[in-house]
Parts: sequence; structure tokens; C-alpha cells
Amino acid sequence: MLFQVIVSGFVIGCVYGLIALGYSLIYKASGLMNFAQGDVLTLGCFLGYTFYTLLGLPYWLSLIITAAIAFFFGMGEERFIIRKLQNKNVLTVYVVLATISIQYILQNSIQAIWGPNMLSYPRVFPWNNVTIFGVNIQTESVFCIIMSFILMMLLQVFMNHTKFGTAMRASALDAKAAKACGINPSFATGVTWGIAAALAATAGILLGPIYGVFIMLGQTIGRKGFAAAIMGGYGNVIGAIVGGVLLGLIETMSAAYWSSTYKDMIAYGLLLIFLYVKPTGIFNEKALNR
Amino acid sequence: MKRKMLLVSLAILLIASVSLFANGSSESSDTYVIGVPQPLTGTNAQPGACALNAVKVAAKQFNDAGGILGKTVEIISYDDQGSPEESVRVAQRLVSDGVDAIIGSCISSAVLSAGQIYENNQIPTFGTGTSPTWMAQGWEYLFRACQNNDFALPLVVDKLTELGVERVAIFAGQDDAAVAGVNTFTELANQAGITVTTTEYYVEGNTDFSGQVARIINSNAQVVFISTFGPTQPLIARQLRQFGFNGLCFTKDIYQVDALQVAGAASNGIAFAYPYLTYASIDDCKDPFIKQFLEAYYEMFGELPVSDCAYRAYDSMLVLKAAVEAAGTTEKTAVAEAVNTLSGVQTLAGMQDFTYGDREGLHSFNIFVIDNEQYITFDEWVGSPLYNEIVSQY
Repeated sequence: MLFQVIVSGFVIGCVYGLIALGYSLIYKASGLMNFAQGDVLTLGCFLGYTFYTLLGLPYWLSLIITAAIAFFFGMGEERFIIRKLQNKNVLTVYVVLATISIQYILQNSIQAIWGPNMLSYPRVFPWNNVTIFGVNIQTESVFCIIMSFILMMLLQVFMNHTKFGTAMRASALDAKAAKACGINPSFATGVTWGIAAALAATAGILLGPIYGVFIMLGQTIGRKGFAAAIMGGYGNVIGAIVGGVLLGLIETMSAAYWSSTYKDMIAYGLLLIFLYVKPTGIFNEKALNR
Repeated sequence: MKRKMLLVSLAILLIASVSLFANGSSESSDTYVIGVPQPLTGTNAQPGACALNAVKVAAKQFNDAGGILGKTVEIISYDDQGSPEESVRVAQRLVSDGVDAIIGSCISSAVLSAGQIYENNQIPTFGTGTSPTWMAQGWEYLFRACQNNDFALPLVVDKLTELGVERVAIFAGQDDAAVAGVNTFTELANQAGITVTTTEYYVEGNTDFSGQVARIINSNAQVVFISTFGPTQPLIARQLRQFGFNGLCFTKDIYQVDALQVAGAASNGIAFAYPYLTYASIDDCKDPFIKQFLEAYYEMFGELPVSDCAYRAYDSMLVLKAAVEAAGTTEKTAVAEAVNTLSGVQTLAGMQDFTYGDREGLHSFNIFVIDNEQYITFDEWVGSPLYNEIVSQY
């Protein structure tokens, strides 16, 4: 039983981690928070459902197309909403509020397109469960964990060992200096928002076969992804996944061995403790001062 | 300054146009206006949308047959979001719209918060939630033509006693109907000598219940009573089976067809006491009256109602029409008084009888079980391999 609880904590924790990765990237690139991340996850879940179930495309292809669409959605969000607001020199808080508006617009748009009904994903793998240490675990759950860690590593390599990743980091640190070096900071920021959206949508298509497809799927997950990002160190790539897994494990274990009624209180209480005691998170990520 | 003026003007224009459309022709005496507050966005958008669609189906049928007492039925619908705060705002708006009757909401906490407003304005209201709480307020203009969970749960506990079940765990949401379900079930179980081993709650919006499931299994329960609504049902069914709980589960109300599709084989062994079922296809339905409704619904919307809230709302419309016709007038107090005299009104849930004096139309229910991913009655289930496998544990 304990092992099964740990695996469940890992699965949901990895999803929090993927969302947290998006929060961290956006913060690094723009010094902002995008509260629409959870609903981009829902969008990804519905898009994946459309490609995989309705159009009959292979799962891996559905995943790639979904991530690509979400990438352009994220870029568009930054280019046509966020940057427009920033160009007006509005306070940062207004830009963050705009992302909350996007969240609700997304929710309602998803309902308008796909309807309010809960939808079911067919199985992705031919076998229902895999047995690890004598415990049956849903194959899609294991896939979710593996994919999360692969994505985290790819992102880490991309950000630290590729020219474009370096350009993105440079743009985030000092846009003017980056521009002087021939980097296009606007494009780099847009790509960062695109990657964040693609990560969230990927989390959505990974979750679909586990939880089903419904409009509010990403709402709570989005909030908890934010908490995970803070715990790991807001803006830190590895910290995001570690924070996510930690949050997933803590809330699952506390529900299993203490109280399910106060599961969320424990999760958000932990967030408060981090904010008070160690606001730089586990990986000691310093907040940007823009 | 000009821009500010422009924005203010636009806002005023928008509000004015919305009010204009909302008021529609409710002033006209040729129309009978029914207000439909339902959750049309958010977590409960699915049942709300189904309920609204069903009201439209009924309204069309009434109008095609000459209306109610010759008056054309008109619908005014607002999104109460299933929230108590919003439902109060919606109720005030419907009152100002001058509606003749109300059908909704399917979220009990929304009925509970808006009920007093409808009562004060003497508007005959058919709540479409299943919680006992709002009917317990004693409001004279408030009725129900669908299940009251308090009436169905004794049937569930009787069945558990009959099967020899001794230990039950509860998994529940924290909304009004879910908590009311927990309270009633716990009380009935205690009276029947059944031990409630643990009661596990979840927060709306959560998707991972592994912690709760672990506690339920560790509590050594033989049966799980699930007091939830909507997308949580298949999630908890799947997670219970994933963790190895293969016993009987009872849900507080219907386990809908979409939940069955999402959870698949994990739904086997889930039971509930309810008046009707939802269907994936019209051909699956054997009840001619329900089939007729499904065909009309499909014709209008190109899909079947996955939520039973459609049935609840449709039945409420049938009872309302019967009441107006029995009263011989659309005058609100006369209609409300007429509801209390109704019996033998044919609805999807069977014959409605309001002469018990409790403003409730339904008093008897069936127990359904899912086996081989199909709905069957409990009596049909007895003796099947799954029945023998589960019941032999008790």
C-alpha cells in the first residue's frame, strides 16, 4: 500500500512539476506569473483527445501536435496580450491579472468548443498495468513519471547547453545587453512562453488517460503547480520538478496517513512556510528584482 | 477622457442590451415565462447544460401542443455557476424579470441560497438538486420532482443489511448534497448496526485520491459509500480498483453513463438507488416514455443527455404543466396550491405523487448495479459471477 501511495504521489507530483516548470520559465524570462498554466493543461488534454480519439492519430503524434499547438498558443499569448500590456508600461500586477482573465477565457472557450461533458480516453498502451515491486501500477502513470523526467532533462540541456537556450537566459537577465549581442529578446521571451505552454499541454495529454477529460481538470493542478514552483525555488528548472514531486508526495502521504480533509491545507500551509522561512525555495533561487 | 467616456458608454450599452434581451416578452400575458437558473459554466456545467436543454425540449413540446393553458412557454436562463453567491444574484434577476415559475438549480446549495427569494416572491419553484436540506426549510412554494437522497438512502442501507455487510467506508465531497448524503447515510448505518470505518473527504477540483483510497482500504471496509457528483465518480472508481478494492460501492445518486465510459471495467460492482438511468444510445433504453424523451432531446441537440439532471428538469416541467392545468390559471399561488393536489403524473421517473404533503413527487426508487459495464437491476444481478464473488466476502 505504501509503495502504491508513493507512486500516486509521484504521478501527481510530476504533473505539478511540469506546470511548475512553465511557471519558472516564464518568471525567468519575463518576471511574471502566468496563472493560465492550469487551463493550458486542460486545453492540451482536450486537444490530445481530439487528435488521438476523434481523429485516430497515434498517441505520440497527438502528443507532438498538441505540444506544438500549445507552443504557438503560448507565443501568441505573450506576443499579443502580455507584450502589448507591457509596452503600455502598466504595472506588473495588471499583466498578471491579464493572465487570470486568459484563464477564464480559456475555460469558457474549451467548453464552447468541446461542450461540458466529461470525455474518456481509450487506453494508450496495450497492457493495463505494470507490476513494480509486486504492486500493480497503471501503465500511463508510469509513462507520465518517465516523460516528466525526460522533459525536465531536455529542458535543462536546452537551457544550459544550446545557443538558443543561452540566448533565452541572456535575454531574461539583461534584454538590452542581449540585444547588443545580436539576440532578439522579444523572440526569446515569446519562445519561453511557448515552451511553458507546451509543457502544460503535454501534462494535459499525459493526464487524460489517467483521469479522463473534463473542463476543470487543470484548475487545481495549476494552483498547485504554482506552489510547487515556489517550493523548488521560483525560476529554477530542477527545483520545479523537485518541488512538484515533493508537494505531490506530501499531500498524498498526509491524506493517506493523517487526514484527507486537510490535504489542501497541508499543501498550501507548506507553501506559506516556504515563503516565510525559505522564499528562495529548496534550490535557493533568488527572486528577480526588475 | 474621451476613451473613458467611450468605455463607460459601451458598458452601459452592454448592460442595457443584456437587460433588454433578458426581459424579452415576459411582460406579455400571452406567455408563460419559466426561469431556469442552472450552472452553465465551471465544474457543474455538464448537468446544468443538460437540465437547460431538457427544459427547452419540454417547452417546445408544450408549445407545439398549444402551450400551457394556451400561453406560449418562454424560457429565461441564467448561469448560477452552481455557487450560492451567484444563485442569489440570479434569483434576484429572475424575480425582476417577472418569471411565472422556476426550474432549478441542480446544485442543492444553489437552491438552498436562492430558495428564500423565490419563496418571498411566491414563485412556484422546482428545485432539481437531490439534497434533503433545502426541502427541510419548509418553503411552501418549493417542490421537487426528482429524487430526495434521504428517501433513497434507507433503501441502500436495507440492502447492505440484507447482504450482511458490517463495515462501510465513506468517500465524500464537501458540497451540501454530498455532506447531507454522508450525514444521512452515517445515521442510517449506525441504526442498522453497520460500522462506518472511516469518512474521507476531498476538495473539489482535486484529481488524485490515492491518500483517501489508502485510508479506506486500511480501514478494512467491505463496502464504500461514495457521496459525490460529476467527474469525481469515475476517478474514485478507478483509483479504488487500482489500489485493489474490489468490493461493492454505492453512490449517493446515479453513476452516470459518461462516468461508466471513463472508468470502464472499474465501474463494475458500483450500485445506486435511483429512479432512472442515463444511456449511451437510444437503443439501450427499454422504457418507452424515456425513449420518447431521448429521441426528442436528440432531435433538438444532436446528442443524448449524459446527465440525469436533464431528466430531473424535464420531469419538473411535466409536473409544472400539470399543476397549471389543474389550477386552471397561471396565477402563482394557485399553481403552487395545485401542485400539492397532484398524483399520477406520468414522468420519466414514474408516477409522481405530491399528496404526501411533503412537496416531494417521488417516494420509490430502484437499485441498479453495473456489471460487465452494463446497468442492470439489483435483482437481475443476484446470482451472477460478480455478485457471488463480492457477496461471498460478507
